[in-house]
Amino acid sequence: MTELVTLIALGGALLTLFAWMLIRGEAADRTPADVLRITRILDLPALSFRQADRLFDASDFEFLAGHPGQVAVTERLRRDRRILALGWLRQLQLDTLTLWRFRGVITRCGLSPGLGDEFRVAFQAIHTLTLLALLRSLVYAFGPFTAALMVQASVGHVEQISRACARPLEAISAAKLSEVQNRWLAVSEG
Amino acid sequence: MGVFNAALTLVGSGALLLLGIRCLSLRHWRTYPYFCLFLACVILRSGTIYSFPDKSSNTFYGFYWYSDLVVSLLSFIVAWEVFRHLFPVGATRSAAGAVTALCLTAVATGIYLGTETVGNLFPDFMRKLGFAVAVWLVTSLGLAQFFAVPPGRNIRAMAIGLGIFHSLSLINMAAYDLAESYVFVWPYWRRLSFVLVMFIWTWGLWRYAPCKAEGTSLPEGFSLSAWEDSWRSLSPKVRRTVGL
Repeated sequence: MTELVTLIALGGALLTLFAWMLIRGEAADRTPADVLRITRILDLPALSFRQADRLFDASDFEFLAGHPGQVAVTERLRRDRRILALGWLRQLQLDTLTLWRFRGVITRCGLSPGLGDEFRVAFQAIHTLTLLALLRSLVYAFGPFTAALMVQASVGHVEQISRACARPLEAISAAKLSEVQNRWLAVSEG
Repeated sequence: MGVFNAALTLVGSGALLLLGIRCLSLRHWRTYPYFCLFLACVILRSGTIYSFPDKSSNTFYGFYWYSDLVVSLLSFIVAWEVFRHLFPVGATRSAAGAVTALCLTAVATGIYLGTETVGNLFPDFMRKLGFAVAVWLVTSLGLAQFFAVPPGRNIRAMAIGLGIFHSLSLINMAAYDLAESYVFVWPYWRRLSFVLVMFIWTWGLWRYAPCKAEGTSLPEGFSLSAWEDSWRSLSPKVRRTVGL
């Protein structure tokens, strides 16, 4: 009897979870212009670099690996790519931290859309930083060509944080924007 | 109830046939062979059940439960289809595989140690089976969310549809043994969940939209010299970006 009731409760919980996933829908496609709007104020080198996908793309590595005479070049490519990929991922982590700090400045300027939004951005920043740390370990251990999907999606997360930072600045006056910029300069230089 | 039952049967078989035709016309069997095998078995089973001459005979009863058991077992291959498309290769697959294996082992151990057969044998076996499949699907979708892997419309619909069916089935099969009066409601509830799943699958698989990672290959006319030129120009840019 207890087991059956437990199973009904478990079924209800699973059903709610799946229904939520169904209702939530798919993530919207990203638009680079929208994401990079914030770079007028912040310096985000890794996010601004639009060819990062190529660092993790295995197609040219596979092409070289198919030529037996190119073993040395193939090995050099893998080594080079790993160093660059790790460097870019580290920079992307720093960009995420910059965005998170900037979000704090926006809140202190009284432009926060609400507590819910603050929690969402904080959760997203922590999730992204954890994901990037995991990704760096994977790239360090297995090379840059094994986690291309994760890279695309991590960039997607950072872009979402970037949008969340840009949104409160959309309809503010020039004077307020300049106040935000001054505060940010004080924070980033201090 | 007779009209309701007939309407459910009509809508359910219509959606099932529509999905089957759509899978054939889009050649889904090439990308999703396990799902198509499962769908073919469901179509075969439904066709046999609807055309059975004597629905009150023991033969029908036996066929109904044994075929339901086979279809429920086959849901594991749909869960595998979802998993293999979400995590096709590489390190992500190893990490996701390890977590999934751990979750399924925990479910199997929990079922083996913590429970004993309650009520009828078939419903009991099927709700445990359904629970394991639903856990696998939730784990796969949760890991995809964590690793930020975009599942694509097809795989998402496949996973959510099957997950909803097994969640409803879990509730349905448990209620079947819990209250005697529920036995009369049970077939309608089961058909309703089947129709719901058919709608989700038909909507999700209406057009070809696989995971974003699929279909990446070398561009046409790719040559070693072109790659070298391109890489030479890219490398300094990257080094500047990452400060090396």
